[in-house]
Amino acid sequence: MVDAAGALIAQVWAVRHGVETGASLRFAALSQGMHAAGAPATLVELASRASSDEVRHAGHCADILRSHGADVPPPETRLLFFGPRDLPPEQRLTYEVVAQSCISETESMATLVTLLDAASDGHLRNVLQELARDEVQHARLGWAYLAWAKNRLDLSFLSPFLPAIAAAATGDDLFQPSAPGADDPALLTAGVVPKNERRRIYLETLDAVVIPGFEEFRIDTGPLRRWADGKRPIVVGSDPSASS
Amino acid sequence: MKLKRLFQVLVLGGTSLIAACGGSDGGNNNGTTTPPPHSLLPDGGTPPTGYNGPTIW
Repeated sequence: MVDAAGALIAQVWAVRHGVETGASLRFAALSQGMHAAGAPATLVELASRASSDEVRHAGHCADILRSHGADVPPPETRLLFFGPRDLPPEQRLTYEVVAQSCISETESMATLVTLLDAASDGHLRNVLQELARDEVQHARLGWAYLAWAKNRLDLSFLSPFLPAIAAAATGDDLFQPSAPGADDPALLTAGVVPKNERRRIYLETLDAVVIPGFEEFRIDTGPLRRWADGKRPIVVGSDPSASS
Repeated sequence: MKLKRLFQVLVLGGTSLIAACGGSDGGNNNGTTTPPPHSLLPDGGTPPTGYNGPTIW
C-alpha cells in the first residue's frame, strides 16, 4: 500500500482493531463488576457477550487490513479504565459503563449506520451489518444499566465528567484540521467516514441521542452541551455546503 | 430521522430491557441489600494522559 488514501484507510482500520480488542477486555471486566454490584443477570450476560463480540469484530478488522495489504497491529492487552480512581466503587463502575456504552458505543452506532448506507462492496456490507447488530446491544447495555442504577445511586455525579468523556471518545484529532484527503467522500466505499462528516455526525448524535438519553435520567447535561457548542464552529467551518 | 430512531432503539430500548427483566428493582442478589464489594473493578492500566474514556469506532 503506497498511496495516501490507502495509508489513511489502513490507519483507520488499525485504530478500530485496537478499539475492538481494548473494548473486549473492558466489557469482560464490566460484566464482572456488574455481577459484583448485584446487577440483573441480563446486563451481566450482555456485557460478557459484548466481550466475545469485540474479539470477533477485531478479527474482521484484521481481515480488512490484510485485504488492503496492510499490517495488523498487535491487540490491545492493557485493561484500561479512565475514571478517577478515587471515586467510590459504584460510581467508578458507572463512569466506565457510561464511557464505554452510553457514549462510545452509542456514537459508534451512528458511524456504522452512515457506513452501511454507503457500502457497495458485498463483503464490507456484510461485516458492517454484523457489527451493527452487535453494537446495538453494546450501546443499549449502558442505557439499561443506568435504568437499573438510577434507584441505587445518585447519577448527578456524572454531569461534570461528561465533557471529558465525550472529548476522549473523539480521539486526539477529530476536531483538529483535516489532513490532505481525509475529507474525501470516496473514503466511504472503503468503510471510512470522511473526517468532516465524522465531526458533524458526532455532534448530531450527541444532540439527538446521547444528551436526550442522559436527560431521561435527569442528569444535568449543561456541561456536555457547552462542550458540544464549543466544537460547532469547527464543524461549520469544515462543512463545504455551509459556504454555498 | 435516523438519529431519532437511534434514540428509540438504543436509549428507550435499553431502559425497556430493564423493565422486561423485573424493573429497576431487579438484580442478581434476589432482593437482598448486601453492599457491593469494596472494589467492583480491578485497578487496570493507566491510559495515556488526557484520555478519560474509550474512543469511538
